[in-house]
Amino acid sequence: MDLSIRLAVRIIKRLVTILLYIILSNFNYVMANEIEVSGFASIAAGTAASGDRFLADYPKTGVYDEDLSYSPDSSLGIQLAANVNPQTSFIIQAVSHGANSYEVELDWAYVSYILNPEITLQAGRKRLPLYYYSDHFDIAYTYNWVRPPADNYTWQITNYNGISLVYEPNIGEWDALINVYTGREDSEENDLLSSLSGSVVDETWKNMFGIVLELSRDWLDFRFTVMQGQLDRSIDNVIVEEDVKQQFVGLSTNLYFDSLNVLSEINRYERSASDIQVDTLMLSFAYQINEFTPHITYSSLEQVPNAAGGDEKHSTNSFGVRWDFISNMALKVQYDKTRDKGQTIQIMGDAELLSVSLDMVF
Amino acid sequence: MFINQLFFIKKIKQVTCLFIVMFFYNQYLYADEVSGVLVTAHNSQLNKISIIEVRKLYLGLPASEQSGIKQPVMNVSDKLVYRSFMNKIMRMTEKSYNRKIIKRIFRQGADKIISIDNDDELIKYILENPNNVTFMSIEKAKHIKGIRIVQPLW
Repeated sequence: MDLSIRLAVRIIKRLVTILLYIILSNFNYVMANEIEVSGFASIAAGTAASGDRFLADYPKTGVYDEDLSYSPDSSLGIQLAANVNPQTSFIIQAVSHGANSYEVELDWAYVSYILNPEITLQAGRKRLPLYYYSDHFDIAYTYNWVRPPADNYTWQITNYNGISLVYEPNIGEWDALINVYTGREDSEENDLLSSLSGSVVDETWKNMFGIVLELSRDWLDFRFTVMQGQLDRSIDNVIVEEDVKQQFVGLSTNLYFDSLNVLSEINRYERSASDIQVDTLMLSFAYQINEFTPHITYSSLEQVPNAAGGDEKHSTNSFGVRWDFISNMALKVQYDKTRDKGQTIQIMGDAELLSVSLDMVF
Repeated sequence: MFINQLFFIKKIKQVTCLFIVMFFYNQYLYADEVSGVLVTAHNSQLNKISIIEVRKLYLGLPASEQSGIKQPVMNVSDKLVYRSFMNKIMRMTEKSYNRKIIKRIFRQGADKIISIDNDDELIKYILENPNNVTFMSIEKAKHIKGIRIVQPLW
């Protein structure tokens, strides 16, 4: 069963690649606005000001060291949205990450069907909407930081293949979004787990079922998310966990005043059978002065110590400035100081990072 | 473990208190006096829609079939009207709006909202694309040939 699903996913990926080639080779059709082209890019550079290494991007293991590096946070993404008819569209998003040696990956590839102006059904490959910034994590232009706080975004599975229903009603004066999704993801030689353990780790998240609720009004923005599913993990081809239940719960509250923005996020990940509970927290203040937005952020991750010696614990203080010097482009400078407080599990140790990025959307 | 949970609850309480303080601290003042209307080309076949639907259109959601609207066009040629539209219809800052639209394009594959920053180009575009809509001040709309007012907005 697993093999047939993996085979199907590979076939879908190849078909999408072929479609991408066909679309790009028929540029006149694209120019006739039958296909909408959008994109985003980040060119980032950074160096660890202290400590040997700084883990900036957990999912793709983007690591800065003492030398100036351009890879960990740099990325380029192209999205093509082909409208088959007024209700149906086919969307693909190919992203090249510096942290992954600029290999092109299909992060999104799905069919979207508008049932009515408020309800959309989507099927295919999408980003897993666990954290607040999960589904626009790569589009750095949409947030003030060079990257979302790394302590919070420590997820090893970032995508899923499945079905998603999006309902966007108005509840009084509130804009609401309710997203219900189900699916699975098979990650062979998972980047994060394999890198941290030094072994070949295959990870599967299956039978995932999740709900995202978003409410916004004027300057107030709430988001609640819950996901539960099962996990399979093998290390060097030896199954170490199978059908283990896991759950993720998160709450975000953001205040977007005229100049002042207050952003917050609290999440809890639990895998009771493995005695794992991890809490993450983020609080950020930003104040816009014309084109400049200075910001300050605290983020932390704390694992409840367990019998297996799991005691991951780290926090980061960040401050930086975003400069919106031209439409759809922003220049950012950021300083991060991470304290790695785990006794048994140390991720990269204490470290400081200086980074700069140029982010854009088009 | 119990201490950890207490610490987590304490943090939540601190964040909640902070938000309550910020809630009462915030004061918004909108002093714009200009009246805005939704307009289209004279030969368009459009019906009036609710303000909520106008808002949804400009957030990138599809228009209802009954409205007959094809696409919304963002008028950024008149800064005062644009700011009033953001305050009174979209009820958010320009920065928040841009962030929402970009998120929507990349999260849900929504079409981009056409944005025009020149008066002549805006009118030309509306006249050449029947059933597209934009907004402008009522004084301006009354004096432009070929433009029809669909409904008042604010």
